[in-house]
Amino acid sequence: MKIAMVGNPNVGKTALLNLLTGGKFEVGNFPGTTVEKKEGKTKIDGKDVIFVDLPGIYSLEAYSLDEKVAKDFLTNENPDLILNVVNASNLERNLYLTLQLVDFKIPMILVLNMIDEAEKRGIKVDAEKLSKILGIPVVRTVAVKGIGIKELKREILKGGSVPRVRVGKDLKSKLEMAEKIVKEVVKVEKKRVDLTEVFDEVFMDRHLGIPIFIAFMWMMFTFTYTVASPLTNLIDFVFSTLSERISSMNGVVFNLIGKGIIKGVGSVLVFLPNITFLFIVLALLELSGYMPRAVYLMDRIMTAFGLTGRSVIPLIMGFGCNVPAVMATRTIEDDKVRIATILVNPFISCSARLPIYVLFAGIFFPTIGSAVIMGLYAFGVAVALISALIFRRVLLRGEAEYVIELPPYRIPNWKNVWILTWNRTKHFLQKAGTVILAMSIVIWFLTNFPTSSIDKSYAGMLGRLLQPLFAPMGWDWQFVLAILMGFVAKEVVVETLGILNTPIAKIMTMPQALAFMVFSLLYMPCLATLATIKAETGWKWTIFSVIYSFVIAYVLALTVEVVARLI
Amino acid sequence: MSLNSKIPLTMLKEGDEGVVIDIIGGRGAISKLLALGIVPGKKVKVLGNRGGAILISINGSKFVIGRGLAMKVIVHAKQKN
Repeated sequence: MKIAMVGNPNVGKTALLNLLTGGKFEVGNFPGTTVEKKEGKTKIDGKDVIFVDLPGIYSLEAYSLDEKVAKDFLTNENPDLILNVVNASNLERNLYLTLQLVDFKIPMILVLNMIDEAEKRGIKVDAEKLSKILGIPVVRTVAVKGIGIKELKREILKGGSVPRVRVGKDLKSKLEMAEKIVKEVVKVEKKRVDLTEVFDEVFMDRHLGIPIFIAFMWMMFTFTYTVASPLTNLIDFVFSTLSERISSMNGVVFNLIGKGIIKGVGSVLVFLPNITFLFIVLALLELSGYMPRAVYLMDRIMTAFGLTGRSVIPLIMGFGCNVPAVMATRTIEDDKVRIATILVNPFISCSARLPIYVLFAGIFFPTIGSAVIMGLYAFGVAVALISALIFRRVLLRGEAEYVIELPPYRIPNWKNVWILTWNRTKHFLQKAGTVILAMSIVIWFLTNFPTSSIDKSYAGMLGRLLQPLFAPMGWDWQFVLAILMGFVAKEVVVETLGILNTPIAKIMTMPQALAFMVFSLLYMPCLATLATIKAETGWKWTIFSVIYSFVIAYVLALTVEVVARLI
Repeated sequence: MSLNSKIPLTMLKEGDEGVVIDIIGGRGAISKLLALGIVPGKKVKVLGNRGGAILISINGSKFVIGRGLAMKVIVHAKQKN
């Protein structure tokens, strides 16, 4: 028996799927799309049942990708039953989708979920009457608490029934019908004080809203960096020990495994705790209902740069790591805004670039080091926002039209937090296992052949070969090589200079150092970020991103060098 | 504000109420709003209008509507007492 679960966003479908399958479901994508597909197999009274959770949608007009995917599934995959999950507090709007599902003539069960929340708001739904009007079974549930699941399973075994309600095919008659039904089955009593209203008074306050948002972001950072750092250190320790042990054994194969593969993949996997923790916070922000509020608070500022409030969180996440930040743009509905947000994200200085600033600022600006570093961060933000504005005015024009519902505040369920987090982290791990693995081998080869001393290796030759390109900035070949190597991961810049024993203070001037920091900040998304950009946008924009950021970095670094020299 | 003014949603101030009378724009925009219950005939209250997106309450739900889309929602402003 194949069962499709259909419903609006934020109605508790995932929690329901979790209950029905005992947590045994897989998260994947619908073929050829990035639309999430959750599928779970289980037995109910010995009967095999497959649940497919379709994306949360408001209608089946097929204007958005989610809607199209859902519609195609219902049309082509012939499910035996539709579980239409609706939010009891918001019946009218949910029924609009229900009345569209009626057109498919597939047996249905209406799951009236979140009845506890509705009752708290003084909303009572007459389930029996609703069942009579629609001609399908209606089951009352509170999925997060497991209430009503037995009844639901019983109804599933009975197979539901094809709706008998008669409604016109057009939009308008469905809307009128939904309104009529609600008038008959919903009773609103005087409601008690709604906690959501109280929270909104504070979180959305004209003066307090933005400071509170900034405080939340600060907490997010502390959690993802400070709290995750013991785990990061542990992974770093394991990989470097493993790398040394294996590479100390004789033979080129051990060297490849130790210094190439384990070291290379390890250098990316050390970000795993940060990324996982960041995703946990992000899931909490999403599931608690705060995210759309943040979108509203920041919309005005972002609109000035051609973006929308939706872009704020991905941009802020970029300070941590651009990889999850690029992935976080998935919440942006408007494709042009989304691509613009992705393209400018690498200009937000991620944590991997900090060691570069610390090294150079420490040498050349011993007294005002932190001010210089702060300045670089601000410079990155400025380049990102101005680039966004240029992209939206030139390449990615068009008005961003978006509307988001503000769900009531909810206490997130840990299982759901974990599902979201794991599903996103998995993509990162897959990348570490494929692209980064391959690149690690390439880089190992370049640095170890024809001889294993780095300055005489192919990499060293490449550094010298490309040095003239950077001659206007006055950098020596070691710095060029460091930049080249830094493409894999930006912290490798510092590592390379270390391996080369570069006497930085002797062969570099202050303006050159400043230009080098600016260049390192902007020059190119690192390999992991590029792989993510490719996965999210395709080759065209990935190549554009490489060229654009390189040109910007070159021009600005040169300008900085010249200006700093003149001052 | 006169009773019969037909104005875009963006012109309402924080705390103002109105009734949706029309949605102008392409089929995409219209269907997006209709599916959310932002439909002609519904009462709408503006909870926030600070220059960017608009925050509204309609049918007991709250929505953030991007300014561009909110311009396409035409309302009758309700006269204040």
